[in-house]
Amino acid sequence: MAEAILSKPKRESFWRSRAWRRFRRNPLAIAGAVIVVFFVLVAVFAPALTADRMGRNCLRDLGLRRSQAVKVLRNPLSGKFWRATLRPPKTCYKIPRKGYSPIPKAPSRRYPLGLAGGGYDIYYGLVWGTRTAFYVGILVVGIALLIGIVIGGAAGFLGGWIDNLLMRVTDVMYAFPGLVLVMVVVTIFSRTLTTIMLAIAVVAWPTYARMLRGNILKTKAQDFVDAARALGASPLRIFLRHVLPNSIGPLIILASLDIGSIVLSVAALSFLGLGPEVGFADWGQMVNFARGWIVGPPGEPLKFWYTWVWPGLAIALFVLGWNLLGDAVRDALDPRS
Amino acid sequence: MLAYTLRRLLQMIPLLFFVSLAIYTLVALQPGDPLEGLIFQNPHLTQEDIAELKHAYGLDQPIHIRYFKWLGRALQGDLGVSRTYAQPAAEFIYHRMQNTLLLTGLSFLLALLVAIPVGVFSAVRQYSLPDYVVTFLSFVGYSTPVFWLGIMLMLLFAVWLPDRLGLDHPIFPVGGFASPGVDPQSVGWAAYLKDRIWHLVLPVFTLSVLSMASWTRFTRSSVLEVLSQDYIRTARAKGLAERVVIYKHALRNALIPIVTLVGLAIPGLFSGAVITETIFSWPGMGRALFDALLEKDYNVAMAALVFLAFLTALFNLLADLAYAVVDPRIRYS
Repeated sequence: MAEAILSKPKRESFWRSRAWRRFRRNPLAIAGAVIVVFFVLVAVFAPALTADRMGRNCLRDLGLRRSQAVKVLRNPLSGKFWRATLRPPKTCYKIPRKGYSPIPKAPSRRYPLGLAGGGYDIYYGLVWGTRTAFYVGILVVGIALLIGIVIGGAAGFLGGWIDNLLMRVTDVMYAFPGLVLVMVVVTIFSRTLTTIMLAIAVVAWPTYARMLRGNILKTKAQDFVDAARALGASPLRIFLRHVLPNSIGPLIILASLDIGSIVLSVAALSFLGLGPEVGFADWGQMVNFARGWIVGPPGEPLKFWYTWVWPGLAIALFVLGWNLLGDAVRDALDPRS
Repeated sequence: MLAYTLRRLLQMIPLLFFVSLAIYTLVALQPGDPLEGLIFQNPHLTQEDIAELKHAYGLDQPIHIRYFKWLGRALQGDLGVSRTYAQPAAEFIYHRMQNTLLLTGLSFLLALLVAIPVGVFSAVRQYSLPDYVVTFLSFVGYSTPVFWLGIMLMLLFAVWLPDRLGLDHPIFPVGGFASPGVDPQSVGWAAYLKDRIWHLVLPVFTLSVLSMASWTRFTRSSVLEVLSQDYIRTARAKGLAERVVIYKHALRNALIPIVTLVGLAIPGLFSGAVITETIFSWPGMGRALFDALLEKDYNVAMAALVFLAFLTALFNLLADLAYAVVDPRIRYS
């Protein structure tokens, strides 16, 4: 008898949960998952996918000769494969150039997606740009979540005048037009990828803070929190062990699905000329490369189509994947539907 | 309710104070000062001249003094003069805001006019083929980068189609907001109006695609939520025609959250759309704000941003009040 009471309730297996079943039956969810998985694979295997066209500096930093590159980087049994996949040197994010001609070159056997103005290899830029997209998205969401958790957590858990003050600060943040604030921060400090990411995180946190505060208010009212207090747990322990873990779950899931829209903001900034340094593999920057070559010479208006179709498509598809996935997860987790 | 409204209005004062202080500090923290361009252009300026100029513009004083001087003048209704455009900042912003509201307002209307019927249709036929098509298209709509879409449309209507059809002029112009030399006096009102509308088509459509997509999604989920309520089942059980159930019982309730969101979206119409304005060279607020910040035109940037913050706070309050009006369960004290 006593044993029965003490044993923990059995956890429902994920594979048999209602949420998973609902998710699996939604064709748009599957489409989103397929797109995101595709981009994950491209990002992970970027070195193998571009082994035949690596830049000189990248090969030097990997300690490879050009003649070995393809063989070594496409062989998962070699140490260099793992080094290039897990910790590629920074120079690999620079798009290699074939010549310096300002005029784009049409797709060929050697350069399947063509060369952008300045001789930048579009295929290389797109593949390594996938890594940049994930890196930027994950980091920005991470920073914004951290700020959101601290502010929303303090406001919701402590309440009183602290809550009032912090929520007014979030109101102020809401009052700014987001993109403009990012532009101000980026122009004041520096136009590096780090600044851009920090600026976007600074604009994005208020949503998370508000959501966490709401969840904490609900959790705080539950009996197990009173029970913990009655047992003499310190406020910090109650917050970290009982309140936060029970309030944060949906927030983390939903925030992680914002990765797509963050990539869209970064691309917009790049388009306005506030992107990372020239030559860095970044999709927004590649659209920027194409700006001068949108209209071809008279008689062939679409001559340079490859300069702007591919990067635009990559951005749209990446964001689409995340949006489809995010919406499906939201739907599946919604207890009302 | 009156006491609540008054309290919220009073809370706006410290809010606006901190917003303006924060913006002023941010703008003033930018490297360099507004005189840099002037000094660069004129190599004959001596150090004394520069110091004198700085003194004349008050740039030799610390930030907080400058801020309070600005605040003092602003409270008396003097928002200063734009250095770049050599006209009063308030006047300049007023003109730009008119242009922007024409663009953002029209695309907002277009988006709502399309999105609400489509969203309702899609919700009523949940999980049908048309529903999946609408849902998919709205996802594509808000995943497409605005700048890319604008460029595509320009290419299609101004370059490719005219080329294909052998026209010597673009179907829609690539930018600007009126053809040069076209004004009511010289060509008459009808032709002038036609020219203005002709210039509006592409930017309005570009800007509305994104909001159309998200309003469709939102209407759909709002209607779906209402359709699962008990009173809808009751209405159906009474034997009411499905048409009456949907339009009289469901739609009106589903529109409540939409009305609130429309209210909250209105301040955004004033802040403009920097990307669309840039692509179509539309002289609007978004672009004005961006340029003012880059060129350190403090007075314009301050006036515009503080005004936007005020609008946001005001419409937040109006949305909260509207909520209480449409939903009698909500009480403010």
